[in-house]
Amino acid sequence: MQKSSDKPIKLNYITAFKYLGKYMKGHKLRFVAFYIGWLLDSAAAVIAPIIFGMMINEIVYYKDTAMFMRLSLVFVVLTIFNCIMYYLIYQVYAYNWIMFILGIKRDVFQHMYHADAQYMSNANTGELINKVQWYTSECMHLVVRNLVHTVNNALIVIFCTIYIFIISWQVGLLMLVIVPVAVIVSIKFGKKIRHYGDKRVEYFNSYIGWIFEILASLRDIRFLGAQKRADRKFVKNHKKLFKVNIDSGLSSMHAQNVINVVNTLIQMAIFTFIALFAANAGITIGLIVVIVTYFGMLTSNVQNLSGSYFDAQNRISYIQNIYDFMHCPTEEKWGGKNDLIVKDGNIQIENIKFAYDKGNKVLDNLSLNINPGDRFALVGKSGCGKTTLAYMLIGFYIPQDGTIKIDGQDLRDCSLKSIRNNIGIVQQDVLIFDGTIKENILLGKPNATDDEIILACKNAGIYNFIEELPDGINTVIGSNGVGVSGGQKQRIAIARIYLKDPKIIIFDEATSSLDSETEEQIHEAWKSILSGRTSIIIAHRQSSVMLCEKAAIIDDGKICEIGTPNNMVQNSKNFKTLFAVKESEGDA
Amino acid sequence: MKRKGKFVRFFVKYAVKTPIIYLAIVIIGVSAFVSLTLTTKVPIFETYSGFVSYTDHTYSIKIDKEITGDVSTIFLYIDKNTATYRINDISVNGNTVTFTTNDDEAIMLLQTTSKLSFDVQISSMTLFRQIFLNGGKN
Repeated sequence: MQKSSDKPIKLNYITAFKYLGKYMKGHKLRFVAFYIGWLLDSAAAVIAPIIFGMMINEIVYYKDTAMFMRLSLVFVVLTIFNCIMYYLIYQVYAYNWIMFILGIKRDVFQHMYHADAQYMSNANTGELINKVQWYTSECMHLVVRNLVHTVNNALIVIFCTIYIFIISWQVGLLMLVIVPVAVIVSIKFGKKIRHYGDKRVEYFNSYIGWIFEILASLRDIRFLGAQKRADRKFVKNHKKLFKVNIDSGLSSMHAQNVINVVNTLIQMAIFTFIALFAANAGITIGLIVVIVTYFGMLTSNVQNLSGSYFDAQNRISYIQNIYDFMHCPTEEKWGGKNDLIVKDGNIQIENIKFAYDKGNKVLDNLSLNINPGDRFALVGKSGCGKTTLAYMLIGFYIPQDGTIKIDGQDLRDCSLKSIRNNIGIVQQDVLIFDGTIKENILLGKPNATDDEIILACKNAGIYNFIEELPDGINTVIGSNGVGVSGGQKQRIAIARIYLKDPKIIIFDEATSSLDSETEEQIHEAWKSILSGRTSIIIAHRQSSVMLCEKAAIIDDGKICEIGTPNNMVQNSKNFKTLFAVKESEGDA
Repeated sequence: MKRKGKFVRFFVKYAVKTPIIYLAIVIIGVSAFVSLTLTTKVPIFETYSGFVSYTDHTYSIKIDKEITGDVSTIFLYIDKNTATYRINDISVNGNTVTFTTNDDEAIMLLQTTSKLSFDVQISSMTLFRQIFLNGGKN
């Protein structure tokens, strides 16, 4: 797991590999084997022309068929060995690919749970999916294409250069001209390409995020007749992506073209030189073959090196995206270590201040005292800070000022684990994953027995429904199984809470999307679970508020009124206004 | 089918997951190549130049340095990249190489010029040495 305390940096070639190095540790042997394979492949590529050149000399000059055949045998053995190596290299590569990337994916995935809730609330879903699913693959590409192949390409370039220098220093010098040209061009264009790479990642993330938003609101788009606007935005997003892709591609192509032109000129000079050399019998045909082959290898490897450098710039942008995410603030900053022990369930909120952005205050000096065992309703307009306050109680957000005490213990001194064990939350959107009812309910208490689950289901009022299903609590629900209604989802959430058995429960607009009849049934289920516990009910419906002993209205980040719901219904103008508007909206 | 599954599991375990077979093949392959190149002896030629003369159906080439060792074959040429002629059963006497030949093309070459060159196999070396130390250059 990445420690967020490490200072994030702008990655470069070396720091990117250093960062990925820790993920390679567990696969060292396979990576070494993989590298040895490619190294041998490069060695074979270098040796083969020498043997081939010798074969030509033996047959052309000395007509020595026996020696030719003997050398052919070595050549064949080398080729067969290479073929077997290729097969094995790709098997190891495929395995490494899966295991290495899985390690990074898991780390990124786990980090999502530990990342600061405030940071995560700003992250878009598409970007997170890109990180887990696509950018992690680029890590392997960087290791294989930009490390293994780069090192081998460099070794081939060095070997070919030395070899040609030994045969003819004049040809060697000519060949060497290409190397500094490629280096200068690569550095010059590399920065540009990295800039485009960063931009591409930014645009792509925002585009994918937008696509997710659109897919989630397809019905609204149809309903509002906003198809044309969405289509325009789609094209605009693509144009932006095309532009940055074209800019990046053009830069890369310009660089490659400069290298190619210089390369062609050098090639012509070398061929002329070799022709003159050969005409004066200073060189054998076999050696000409070796030199020409090596020149081809040298230029293609120099091109690969510069191409690999350009690709690396784009890849480092993707890895930077992962790196930055892994260095985002995490819940580690919470710092509390003590166990929260809730005996009575008294909640004291004193002078809480909180803002998501500077100047955009959500809670401003909010104070509140909730007595043990109270059912307390929090009401107010949308965006007034009710949910923010609930999230503070479970340690998602940290108050910028003020304290929250539960039974006299400052929440900041307590560990997040103990806080979340003692405070349960039921939200409007209940997580139901593909699996059995039992598996879904076990999220509340992983080691619960079947009897405990059944009891929880009975108390949550969902057991009648489960009994009618062919496999009972083992029936698969979710997108691949039996569909469950909003009310049934709420009951599953209540069953989970039963099993979890927290001392304090928060219902955050849990019944907002349910019809009145279902809401009434859910309220019945609430009654049994709420007895003997302190509960906070964040509600937009009067019926939910009326279940409570006390209610507070939040306005402008402060508590503006507090009292019993019955009293408020009769005497509070704010209460009447709030629910008159809500009820009429609900009726409409 | 079961056999195939077993083989796949074995292969993944020993050739990929813990690359024992992989490394074994690498070692076997490298060893085979190295031993093959160590046991293959390639001839080492040296080039001499001299002037040819013809007396009593015998050609003599007088060279400026002595040929050491037992030599029975030379490869005669003016321009090596145009044509070389194999001459067997030569005799070396100090700085002079003498031989007879019935090869019409070689005779034509000998009659065309007085100065020519020839390659002589002076020794041999392992292919390994030839590749890794000499880079294939004679």
